[in-house]
Amino acid sequence: MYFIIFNSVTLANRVKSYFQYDRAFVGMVHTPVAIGVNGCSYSLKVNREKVREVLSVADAMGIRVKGVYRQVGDNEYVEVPL
Amino acid sequence: MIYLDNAATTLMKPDGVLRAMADCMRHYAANPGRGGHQLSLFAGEQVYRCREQLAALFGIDTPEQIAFTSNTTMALNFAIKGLVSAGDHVVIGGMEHNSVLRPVVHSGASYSVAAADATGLVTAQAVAAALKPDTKLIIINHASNVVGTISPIGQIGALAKARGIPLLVDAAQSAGVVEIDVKRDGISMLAFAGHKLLYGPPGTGGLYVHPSIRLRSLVEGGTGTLSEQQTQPDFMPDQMESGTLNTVGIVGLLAGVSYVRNQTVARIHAYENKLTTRLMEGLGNVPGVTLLGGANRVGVVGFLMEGLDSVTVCGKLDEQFHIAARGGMHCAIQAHRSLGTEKTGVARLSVSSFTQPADVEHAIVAVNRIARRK
Repeated sequence: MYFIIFNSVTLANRVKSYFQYDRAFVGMVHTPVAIGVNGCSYSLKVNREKVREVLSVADAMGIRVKGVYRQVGDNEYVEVPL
Repeated sequence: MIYLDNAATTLMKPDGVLRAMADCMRHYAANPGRGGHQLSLFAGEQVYRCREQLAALFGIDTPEQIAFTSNTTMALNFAIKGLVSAGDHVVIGGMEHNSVLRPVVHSGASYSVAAADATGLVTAQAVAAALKPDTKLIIINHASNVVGTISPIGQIGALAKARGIPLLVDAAQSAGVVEIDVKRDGISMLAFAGHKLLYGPPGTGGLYVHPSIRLRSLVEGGTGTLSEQQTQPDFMPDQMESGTLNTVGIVGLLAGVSYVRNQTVARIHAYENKLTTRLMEGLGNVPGVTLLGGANRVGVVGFLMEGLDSVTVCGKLDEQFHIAARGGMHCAIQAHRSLGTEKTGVARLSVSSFTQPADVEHAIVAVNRIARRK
């Protein structure tokens, strides 16, 4: 799974709302501290196939993405270069 | 009781507002944007839906630029004190409420008043005449809380845009009953009440800020974001929303805005117009009554009764006829100065989409009787 990190719950919800009828979309989570940049934030948790689409929607909305991480273990994440 | 004090706050709310708030209280009034459990996330989603509905209502492309406040006054304070400093110059309309006048004075900025005409109308020409080369902000009351007159914010917005000056609109009395489109009307910041004609509960309101405007924050604290940082986030809405949000109120507001959008602003305005037209026709025939305000108005009717104080008129309406109305200054001394009613105050009757034609007829009879008995 991939974590696409946004500054706030509001911004994450705005991007998420675009996918409200998309069954393949996973959802929103509180960003794990290990990958949160400067503290608390919210992430959209998606499958690999959705990452590009989410980034493109966020970009079209003018919303900055703080980072993208791939989960490789319970508490292990690898940053995905944007 | 016949409730004709809707300009203060609407008493009757759509059933959906009451149901939504009760459902929230019972099932998911967790803290939105704090933590990651399902109830917090769901509450956050509902709060976001409210921003989305408000954005759709006001022609806003960026729902995150709407911050929730507890009322219009708070929103106006955020906008004025966040932008204006001592030494700046501000233009305010001649019908402003104290929620504009007092923060402007407190900021230490100098201000000029764009004169209102005898009906309470503030034109773009009047605003242009009040501008100075260094004017930092124009603040206009969209619809008067004293007499209901609607000022042409689209024309004033075009002027503000041409001069490169931000326009802050006080939409306390117009949001939900007059079409507002921030892009079309050239509005940089929009302060609105949730508890009036958007039919949310008391304690709700908000401020839209155009993405190009950076305000100083007035209240700092927890936002659920950037917690490692010692300074307030500089992005909306977090910059303006420190501390726990009024989730139950916002969910009620969401249902209220949905009601307005379903009814449509145009239909609500037409209905209220019908009521106020009849009210003015009826009151206009009462001996000693002088009607105030212009032809283009929201559902507010202000009047004077010869030989009787405005507060006394409203006291008699309450005690003798069980009609809720408001007399006095309506926290708007600037507006009363413009109208020349600062010594008498004004008796005010105000309707909503829940006011019935029979309520208006009852009020006309009551005012008639008071006028004849005095």
